Amino acid sequence: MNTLTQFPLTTNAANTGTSPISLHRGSKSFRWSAAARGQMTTTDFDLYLTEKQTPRALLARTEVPDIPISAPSVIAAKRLTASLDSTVIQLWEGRVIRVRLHEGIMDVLLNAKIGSLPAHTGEVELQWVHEQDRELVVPGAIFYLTLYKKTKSGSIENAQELRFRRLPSWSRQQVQRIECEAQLMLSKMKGRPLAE
Amino acid sequence: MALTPEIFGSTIVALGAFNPAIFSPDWLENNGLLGAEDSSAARQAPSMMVSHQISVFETDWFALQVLENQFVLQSKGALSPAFTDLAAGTLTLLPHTPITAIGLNYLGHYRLPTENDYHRVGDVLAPKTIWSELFPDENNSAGLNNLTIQIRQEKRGKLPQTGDEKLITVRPSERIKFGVLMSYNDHHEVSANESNNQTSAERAVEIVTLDWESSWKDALRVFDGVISKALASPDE
Repeated sequence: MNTLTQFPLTTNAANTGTSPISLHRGSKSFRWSAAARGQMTTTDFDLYLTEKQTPRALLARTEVPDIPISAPSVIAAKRLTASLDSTVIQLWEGRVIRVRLHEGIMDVLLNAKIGSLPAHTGEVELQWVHEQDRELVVPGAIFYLTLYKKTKSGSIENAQELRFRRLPSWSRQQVQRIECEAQLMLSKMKGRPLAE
Repeated sequence: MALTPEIFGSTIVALGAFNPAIFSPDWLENNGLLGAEDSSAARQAPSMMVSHQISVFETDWFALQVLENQFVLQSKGALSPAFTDLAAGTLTLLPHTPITAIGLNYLGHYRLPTENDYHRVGDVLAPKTIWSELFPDENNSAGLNNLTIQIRQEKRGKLPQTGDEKLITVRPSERIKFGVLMSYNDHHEVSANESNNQTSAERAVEIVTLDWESSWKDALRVFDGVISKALASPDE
């Protein structure tokens, strides 16, 4: 069986398998290392050690420990509170056409990602753009507008979120590769015949 | 009419050789992948940890965990392609990271209209006839706890041409009463392509960029299909 990239179905405290962090025996101190569940590599956001594995629990046992106990080199893992609570109702990929700063509005072109809806233009007030994204608001910039339903304890929330696209700069290798491919394409192009 | 999930999210998992110490909110911010507010929120979150063997941090829209052999990015809140951009952008920054596999995962909680429908889905996917005979006591009941189906692109009995496969899992939802939890794992084996000087990390980025959206749509198609067909199946 191939090593798999399946993500476990639960991200709460109900662990369904071994923690990805296991302790190595035979070493002088506890070492953190990733473990695989059989042939499948899954992960779990609950990184707490089990009760049996904590130094306190080992010291409480009556048998002689086969390894000296010392403080782990990494601070005890903190719980990662990843949680799913929303579902997308509609998603648009938008492109900024024009920014009217003095009016606090950006003109946009919206393409729906769900369903077969035609593209349409619209206006979005800049108050809906988070401060950290303001510098990204330029003509041509891509953003995502998500309409979603959030399940909260006791209520359902209907909300929307606007997030601008962030991509890293081109790397030197990428630029070099593009230049090589461009040269290759150019070399295959024939010159236009001159009109007589 | 297609069923819609009550809760839906995605996770991108990459297997390979990583240096967890690199992955920090500051690093993502300095490379333009994270805004200043998100970076600050991640640094201040109690779950944050960055070390040589593990890095973990989260914001209100994603959670990242990197081990020496595994990269996991999980969505939180509203799912959008910004999540994919973050995964692709992060891997783009490390083009020489050896990556052996990448998985596009989707998870959905579906609410069934009635308790009968809920049990019907389980009974169709995992018929109880055998189990009722093995455990005939009328005080016993058998129920589907976890079912995983593997889909490979070759006929049964033939050797697989690639390691690519899909895993679809069905189980009761722990979040929704009379709900079904379904997951879809779109697994891709990754290797470098020497013919065009493409590294394995670049190939992984290509898969994330080109396949994530289509995989999302296929996951929804499969989830809807499994429940709809189960409910429409004739009684045994």
